[in-house]
Amino acid sequence: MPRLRLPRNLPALLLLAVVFALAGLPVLSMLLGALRSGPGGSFGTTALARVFLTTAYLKPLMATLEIAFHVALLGTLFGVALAWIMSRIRPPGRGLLEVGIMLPIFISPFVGAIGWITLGQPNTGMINVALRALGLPTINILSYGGAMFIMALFLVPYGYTLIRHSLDRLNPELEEAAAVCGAHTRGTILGVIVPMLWPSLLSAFVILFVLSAEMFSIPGLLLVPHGYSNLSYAIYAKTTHWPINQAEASAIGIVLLVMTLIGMAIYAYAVRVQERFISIGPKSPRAVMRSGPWSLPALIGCLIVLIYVIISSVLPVLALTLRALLPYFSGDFALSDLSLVNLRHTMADQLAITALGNSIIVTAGSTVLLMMIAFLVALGRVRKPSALSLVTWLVASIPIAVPGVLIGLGMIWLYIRTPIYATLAIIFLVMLARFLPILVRMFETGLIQVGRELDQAAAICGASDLTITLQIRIPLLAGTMRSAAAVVGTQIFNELTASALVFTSTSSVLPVVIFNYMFDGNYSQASALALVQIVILMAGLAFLWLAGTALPAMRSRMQTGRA
Amino acid sequence: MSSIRLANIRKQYGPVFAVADVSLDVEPGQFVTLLGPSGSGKTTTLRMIAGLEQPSSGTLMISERLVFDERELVRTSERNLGMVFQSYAVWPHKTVFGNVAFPLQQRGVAQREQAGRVQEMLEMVELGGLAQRYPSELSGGQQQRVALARAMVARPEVILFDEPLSNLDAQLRESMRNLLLSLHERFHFTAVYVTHDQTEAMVLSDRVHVMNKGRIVQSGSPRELYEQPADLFVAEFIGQANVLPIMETRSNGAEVLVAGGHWLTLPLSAARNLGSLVIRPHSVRLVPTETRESDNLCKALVLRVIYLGDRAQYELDLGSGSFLQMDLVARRNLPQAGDNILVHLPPEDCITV
Repeated sequence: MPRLRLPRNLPALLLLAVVFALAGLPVLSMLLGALRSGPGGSFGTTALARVFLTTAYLKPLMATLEIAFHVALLGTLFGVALAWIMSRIRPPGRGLLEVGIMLPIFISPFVGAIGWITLGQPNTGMINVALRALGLPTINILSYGGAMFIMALFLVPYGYTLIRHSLDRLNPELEEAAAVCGAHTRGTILGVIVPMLWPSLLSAFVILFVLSAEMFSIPGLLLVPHGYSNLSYAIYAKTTHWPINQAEASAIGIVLLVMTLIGMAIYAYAVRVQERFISIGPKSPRAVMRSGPWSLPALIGCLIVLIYVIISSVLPVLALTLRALLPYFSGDFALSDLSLVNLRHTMADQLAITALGNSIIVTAGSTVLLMMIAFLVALGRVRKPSALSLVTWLVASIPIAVPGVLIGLGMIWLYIRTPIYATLAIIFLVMLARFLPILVRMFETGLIQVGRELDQAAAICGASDLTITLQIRIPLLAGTMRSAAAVVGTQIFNELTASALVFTSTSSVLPVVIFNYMFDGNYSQASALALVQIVILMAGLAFLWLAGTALPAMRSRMQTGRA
Repeated sequence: MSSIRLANIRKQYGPVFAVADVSLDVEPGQFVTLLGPSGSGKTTTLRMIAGLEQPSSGTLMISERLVFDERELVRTSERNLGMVFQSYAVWPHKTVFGNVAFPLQQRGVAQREQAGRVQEMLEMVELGGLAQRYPSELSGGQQQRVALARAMVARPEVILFDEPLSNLDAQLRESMRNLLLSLHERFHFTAVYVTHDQTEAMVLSDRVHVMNKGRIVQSGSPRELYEQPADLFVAEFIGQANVLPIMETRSNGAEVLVAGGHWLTLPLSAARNLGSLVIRPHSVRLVPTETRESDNLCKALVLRVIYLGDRAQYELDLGSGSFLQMDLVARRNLPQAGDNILVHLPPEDCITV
């Protein structure tokens, strides 16, 4: 009797199918969309012709390049200064400063912008009120310079991380060798450090460039009223504002995608070059502390980092909180003015309540799903190399070069005529597509660090693949999983650029509602809801942290007790 | 009856042969070593026995059971093996007890029995009191003992060792070697041991397989390999060797002319017409300059003396660009650098390859 034989690699094929549906299809649909007249419509080249053969989008293109260039330059400068201080001057309290530098990632640039608008808007901005009282000239954050400043401020952590990583791994003996050869500080920096560090500076610049080119929230809020629209915003507008034209959005998307692809190629090149200059091994000396922790340079360094933390996190969150707690905002206030009116008002808005619930469900649910899929993709890539696992990994990596706004657009093309569209499932799909690559990479690094011999030792002992995963891999990856949950959970909770394109009243999430409040000029309610978002996020992170430190401590105490 | 049988095992990466047609039989209870420089294919061979790598072709049997050929592939976990890794590969999230109990858990041994067997095994590797410790609280030597206990606790017939001592310092290495020997005497497992350290191979093994460029170039007891190396590679890899190229032969190969213009007599068994004459430094004898009647005498100039405490190492010039190393037991009145001396190369110690 003929027997149906399942192929040996059936699970791997299934994984590839899932990954393709999640990460490959939306991008493909987005690209194909440029050739159509609309969802379900006929094929044609009208949209392509308008984008590529007319000058209609020349201005947004130039604006995108200009904004991205300025933000990247400013952000890289901030980043290299902070990285240099933290790595080489080594100020006191580095642990806390490190957390402070990373805070903007958790606050999100858009929420940071809300805070900064309250601080720096022309008349009633809190800083301006203070400046005017002191008889000093005032600032205007609702300007090109203001937008650059906010965007750079909140993207700094991404550049900082890259440069810091390289600085830490440049063997300090190379600098000492320059000194022994007679070079002074300036000679060492120009002759040794800069030539070894330029790939990192380039990669930081490119990443900041790409991130700011993708962003439409801050440009939309601060620059569009001045007649500046970047490509991202144009795509957002073409899919959400009348007259809607998704085909044209897709055609613009191709321009944006080419830009980010070039960026990623340069980035990959720079990282490869940097690897050649990494001269530190596990046993090499760490960067030397040239001066004591309480010396003058160390204190000045500490002060500079503190100033960054204050302007990027402390001030905007403080401003946001005050605005959320003040019924009427005039830039000036007395403590007796504080009330919960705005919060109560916001919590009475059905849309906000739905979004709050949705955000929590989507964040928890898609983080768990992503961890499972990403773990399997990374496991295949690191532990079971084959053509199939490589293809799966490549497909899963596609979204890394695709701006969020284009993922959102792809989702529209793919699902708008299906019942999925008006449900929360569409937001789940957005998150799974957008954040799969980051998580795959985190698990890849984790698995490589764990070392394959620990797996193999278990196989020798007779353990099946499932047992190895449950008893060896997952416990050893616990740290990676916790930080992955923190990083990706934060990104999902704060995700705006893709969700803003596909949300409906039932599938709205917090950042989208906040963004729409801002667009309607409802700053008080936006601040109140942003405050709620920050508080929930911090509570979630605190929970993860507790789960990571308190639980193992408790468990080990119980074990010692038993022994 | 053999415990492990490899027949024409080959591992190919594109056009490169990592292992080229290796055939090997290991008898039950035998301790064999795969010895060779890095890149010789010894670790790949071991990993193929373990099932951690798949051969390109050949057949492989473990305990009379086919585990690999063109159609059959038994997974690592089903091969009933023990293995000790170079990096120890002790699981950092499990206690010593948890590590050693793992193979028993996989084999479905009852909990109560597990505890007894783990404890017994830990006593044997002298870790009796450390069962509840985590690996991070142990020294490198102790971690390696945990790995050893884990490999043996389920009493597998075959245990594989992948350079297990190379991460330990010299003193620890010696004590681990002795522990390994006593455990082998006690349990009589079949051992395949990979190393590049010839001393380790000679101390531990019943039989050594010397590997080079993916092939086994010679197999034998440590003594056979040392005294009758099959080729120049083995001669130079195992122990130190003076190699003198042979220029000419006469008397049917019983006498050879080596560089430096010396005619040397060979033992009858070695009377072959081959490329080089090999003699170990400690076989070279210092004789009084007035000696005349013996064969195989060479005049030499002492170039350098290295004093090593128990012995002295001599570098000698035989003339015409031919040099010789000689080891002497250290005593008073040894020749100095610059002295002209007479050395004897006993025919029975001359090997031709």
